[in-house]
Amino acid sequence: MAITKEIENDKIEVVNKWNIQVRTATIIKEDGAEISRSYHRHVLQPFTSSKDGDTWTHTATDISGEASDVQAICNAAWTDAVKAAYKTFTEAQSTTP
Amino acid sequence: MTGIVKTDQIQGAQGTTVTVPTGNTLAVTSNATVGGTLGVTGNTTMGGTAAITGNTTVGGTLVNTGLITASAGVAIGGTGSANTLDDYEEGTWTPVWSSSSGGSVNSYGPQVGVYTKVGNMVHLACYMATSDKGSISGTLSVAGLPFASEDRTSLYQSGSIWMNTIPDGSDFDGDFHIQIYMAPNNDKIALQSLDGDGGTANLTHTSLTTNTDLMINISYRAA
Repeated sequence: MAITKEIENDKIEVVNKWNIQVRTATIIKEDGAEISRSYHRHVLQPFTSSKDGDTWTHTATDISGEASDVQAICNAAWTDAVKAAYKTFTEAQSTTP
Repeated sequence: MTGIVKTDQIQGAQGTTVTVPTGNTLAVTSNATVGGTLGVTGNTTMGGTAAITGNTTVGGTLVNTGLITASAGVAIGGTGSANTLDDYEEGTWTPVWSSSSGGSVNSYGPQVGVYTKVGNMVHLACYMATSDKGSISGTLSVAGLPFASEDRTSLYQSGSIWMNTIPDGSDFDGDFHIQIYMAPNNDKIALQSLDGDGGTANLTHTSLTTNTDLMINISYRAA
């Protein structure tokens, strides 16, 4: 009887243009048959944004620590147009409700 | 009569019925095709898999002791998308402090987050404590969330927070109300205090100590 553990990004979603939602599955198998699957999630946006006075700062998200498949999706989804749309959207919102 | 063994077709005359007398059993070891309605007044027991390509109507109570899978969702009270539960998921996430001005927390103590997504509602909880706040600076928020919030104009969504070990005299030292919210189409939780002057103040690194810890519960509509 062989118990194995596999970790994979089983779902990478692009939501509302710039949100990259990543689901990481931990799969336990017994003799090749799946007996357990659990999920861990995180979301990536192209920037972390803040406003100081009237000035906005958009710090690019560091995706170097992400898996290659996630990086590929981020790089494909985060075009210059999408990045510009993110900044426009963010700056149009109030910093507080 | 001890039995009739037919190796070819059993067929009654047109308009007649083939009857299996009480106490006897009709055993079909291979396939059976029913062109019309199959009426069963007693119980039906299936040892194998039932594959139904058409609709199934159950007038009474449906009891299922195994797993029900519904990849297209479950419609309740109607058949439109507003009546369809089409997603359910449980999992974990890792809460982290995110800074507007760079830097990061060097290390955490406990750092645990869980979520349950039911339809488009995400219910999440987390607890985290810093053990070395490092060089983090600027306005802080909680990041690492499992789903982005819904992109709906002015839909700010709030939750509850517990915070401890804050520098005395800070806006977040407990003298004032502390609150959290998610902005539309966002992946972070913002933290504010009512500053006692009728306004709000954002949480910054100056309100963090080496051992600041917090708990958050929030339910929000996902993207």
